[in-house]
Amino acid sequence: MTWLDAIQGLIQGLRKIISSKIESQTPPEQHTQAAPRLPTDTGTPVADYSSSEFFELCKLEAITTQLDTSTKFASTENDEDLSPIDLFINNTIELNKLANENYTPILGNLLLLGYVSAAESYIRALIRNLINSDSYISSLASEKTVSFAAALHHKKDVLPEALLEEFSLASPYNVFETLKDLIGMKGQRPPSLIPPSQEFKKVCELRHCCVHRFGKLGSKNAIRLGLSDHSEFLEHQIKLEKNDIENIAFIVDNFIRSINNYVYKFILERSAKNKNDENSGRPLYQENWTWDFDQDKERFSKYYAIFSTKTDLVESMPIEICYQKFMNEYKPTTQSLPARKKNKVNNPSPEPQL
Amino acid sequence: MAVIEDEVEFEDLKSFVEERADFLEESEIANKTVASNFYKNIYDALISRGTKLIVGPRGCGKTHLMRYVWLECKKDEEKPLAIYVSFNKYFRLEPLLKSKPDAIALFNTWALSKILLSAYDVAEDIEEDQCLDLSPILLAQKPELESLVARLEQSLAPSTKQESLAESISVSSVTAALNKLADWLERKRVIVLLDDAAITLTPEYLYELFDIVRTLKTSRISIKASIYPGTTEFGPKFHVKHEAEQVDAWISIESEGYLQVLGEIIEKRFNEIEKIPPEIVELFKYAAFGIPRTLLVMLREYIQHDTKSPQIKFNKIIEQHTEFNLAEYRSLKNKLPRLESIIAVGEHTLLRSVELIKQANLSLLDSDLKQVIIAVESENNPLFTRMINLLVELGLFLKLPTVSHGEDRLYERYIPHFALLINSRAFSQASRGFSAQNEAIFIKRKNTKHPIRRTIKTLIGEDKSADLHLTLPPCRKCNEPRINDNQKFCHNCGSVLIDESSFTKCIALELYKLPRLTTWQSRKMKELEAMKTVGDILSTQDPGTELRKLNRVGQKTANRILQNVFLYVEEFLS
Repeated sequence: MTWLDAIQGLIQGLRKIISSKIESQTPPEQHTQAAPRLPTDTGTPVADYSSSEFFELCKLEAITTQLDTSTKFASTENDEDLSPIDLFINNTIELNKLANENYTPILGNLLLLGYVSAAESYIRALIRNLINSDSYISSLASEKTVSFAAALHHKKDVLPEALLEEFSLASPYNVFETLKDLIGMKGQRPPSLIPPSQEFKKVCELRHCCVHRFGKLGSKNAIRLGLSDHSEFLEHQIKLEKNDIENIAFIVDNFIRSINNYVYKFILERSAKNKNDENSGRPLYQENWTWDFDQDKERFSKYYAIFSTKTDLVESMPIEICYQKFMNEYKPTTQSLPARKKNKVNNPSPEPQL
Repeated sequence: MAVIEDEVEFEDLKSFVEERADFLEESEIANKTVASNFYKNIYDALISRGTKLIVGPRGCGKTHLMRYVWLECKKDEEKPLAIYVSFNKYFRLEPLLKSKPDAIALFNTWALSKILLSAYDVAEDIEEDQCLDLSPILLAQKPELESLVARLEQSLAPSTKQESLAESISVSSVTAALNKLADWLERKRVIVLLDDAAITLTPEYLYELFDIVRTLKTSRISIKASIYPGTTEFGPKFHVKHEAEQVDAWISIESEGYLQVLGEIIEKRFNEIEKIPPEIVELFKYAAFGIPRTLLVMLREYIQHDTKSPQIKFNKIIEQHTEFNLAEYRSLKNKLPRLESIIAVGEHTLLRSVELIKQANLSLLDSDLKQVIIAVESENNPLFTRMINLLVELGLFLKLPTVSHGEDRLYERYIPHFALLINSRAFSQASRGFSAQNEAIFIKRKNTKHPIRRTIKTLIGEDKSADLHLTLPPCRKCNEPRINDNQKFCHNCGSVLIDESSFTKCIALELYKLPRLTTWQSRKMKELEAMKTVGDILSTQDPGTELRKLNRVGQKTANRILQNVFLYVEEFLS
């Protein structure tokens, strides 16, 4: 170290002491109004406004690379063998794993979007599978239109997905309207679906806040959630703790499982009745159930494959048992007539011809 | 000898059945109800206006009193229309909680359907017509309601045909139905007696039931519900202090008229009392700990016992009842698997309290005082509270009012069941031999000024304190232990966490393990081949045939055993 270096160091040290003294004597309100300070050697980037235009309040950089979206999707479909419900379960398991010890409420907001997205994806996959496997549903869908690009480029089995591109499924109302429109599930919502729908509706409102407002409560959402309980939180930030996210995951899971079971019941029941009430009771399907497993197996398996799960912790009941229970419920019963007293003595009347 | 032993054991069983109010004939209930002030107060609470909660453990006479009020009202047109409903089969709906998203709504339908069915019962009796069709009033025909209830009790949702009926059943439609029925039967008002409303094994349903209680009551309809002591939570909407008045149906061993009230019960319901020495009867009164059913069973067992020595007979009966009480308490772990560890600590706490009292009484031998009270310093420890409440619920601890000691120290006070104290010789350490008289004199001593004071830790001990935790099953997929009680997904593998239905677990219990079975019955149950579990007996079409396969069991005996085993099963599953 030369003597010059030593003097420069000394001057710098004195400057620091003086500036810190000035700072400590300045009242805070004056401090905030003070003119911009000169950059110091503390690491703050040097502000140079000479090349800035008047509107450039945000620092920007040039885009030098482009996002090539075509390489961001798997080259093959990897969920071909999975039922919609299995797909949903797998997707949510991945999300569940993220709610670990590194959890933060912001992650919670994103997870919430993820769960609803998994639910939407389920509905799309379900409808696609049903259109491909159920002749009546396929006939309902045939009146719908898809975009030219979809018609041109989609594989046949995934073309039905294009039908749903215009649909938003992020509310129970939309889900039920879609099911009504595309699979003909009309009528009153069954009682078993009411509690899951009510809870799912709440989750969808929260999702809306997270998607469009970074988690702030909007007035429309507040109205739908109940203004009396929510008005005081308008424009307040959502804060989801880890257990809230667990609860949300449970609600979405419960809603989808309820839909899965109910739609399965509805479609099998409809196939067993095989009557189109809107068309003078004409059959909906060309074939009827024979109530013989071997004969019905192929047709029944199609439905079973769509709705059953292999990946869930509790696997679906085996197809044979499922068929048996379906048969017990819907196979038409014929009332047995009392036994004839054939050996009656002194009964000359001939047996009636049947 | 074996035959005699079998007979005795069989009679034990029979007496247990006979003391239950559900099995008493209507005429017996009318004639065998005690008119003491203690029970008169409860009677008044049941027949008056307003919501009342009748509080007491099993066997204290809640059902008897409700049935008595029901009978009195039925035959007197000036009295209100009384509807008696028992919810003792509620646990059968527990699997719905694990399989149906609308389980709470289904429970609501079940509870209200039970009220409608009971309304049918009373109307049929009043009209003396067992085939009344009151569907314009009571929403449906009786068989329709019966099949709906039966289906729900099989943990199945209403069938497609039953759906519209199920939907029509709501608090408002049932309120309207009860009003119409009262008009039709020309009664001014209605009381609805909800027996076995302490559905503590399924808090979700308990909350719903008390929401029904809250909303069903009107100026014309009064609700009375029987509950267990120790139940303090009735859900977010039912605030006991505002909604209802609690009435004690469990006579405290500390109350002045204790011996007299139990004496009146004996007089009405036990006609062989002169065969038992009075000092033994007195001790039995204490050992029954305010539970008439226990007292009557003990007295009957004493008469039926083939031993001559009063001491041996008495000791054996007390020992057996202590064991029954503990076995019944332990069986809770089948119904509440998450509380398994807490239940074990509870038993330890109970036995330790008995031991502490025994030691305290040893040092009081030369005084004229006795010790029976354990006081635990109040702390915010929900698991300990849950543990104590279970013991109180089963009547193993009698809870006394909380007292303060010093500025901010509160003590919760409890008396352990006297059968356990007598069994441990807590009152008979002065003499080596057996003297019922001296023991009763000791019990009649005044209490010491201060109870035995302990903190939670010093009562249950440092080592056992660590066991005061929930028993949570690990993740079924990756076996990772759970972090908390409310966890729904595994934090390790993301898989859903599944709790088995505890009802399903209970019906998988082997029959011979049922609490209350005597050694003989337990042995006989083990011999059964086709009926091994509780579930088997519920689902076997003709369980009697199976029982008759047993050695020395004829048709009549088989039917009687069956009736009793069913009863134990019902008790176990309620």
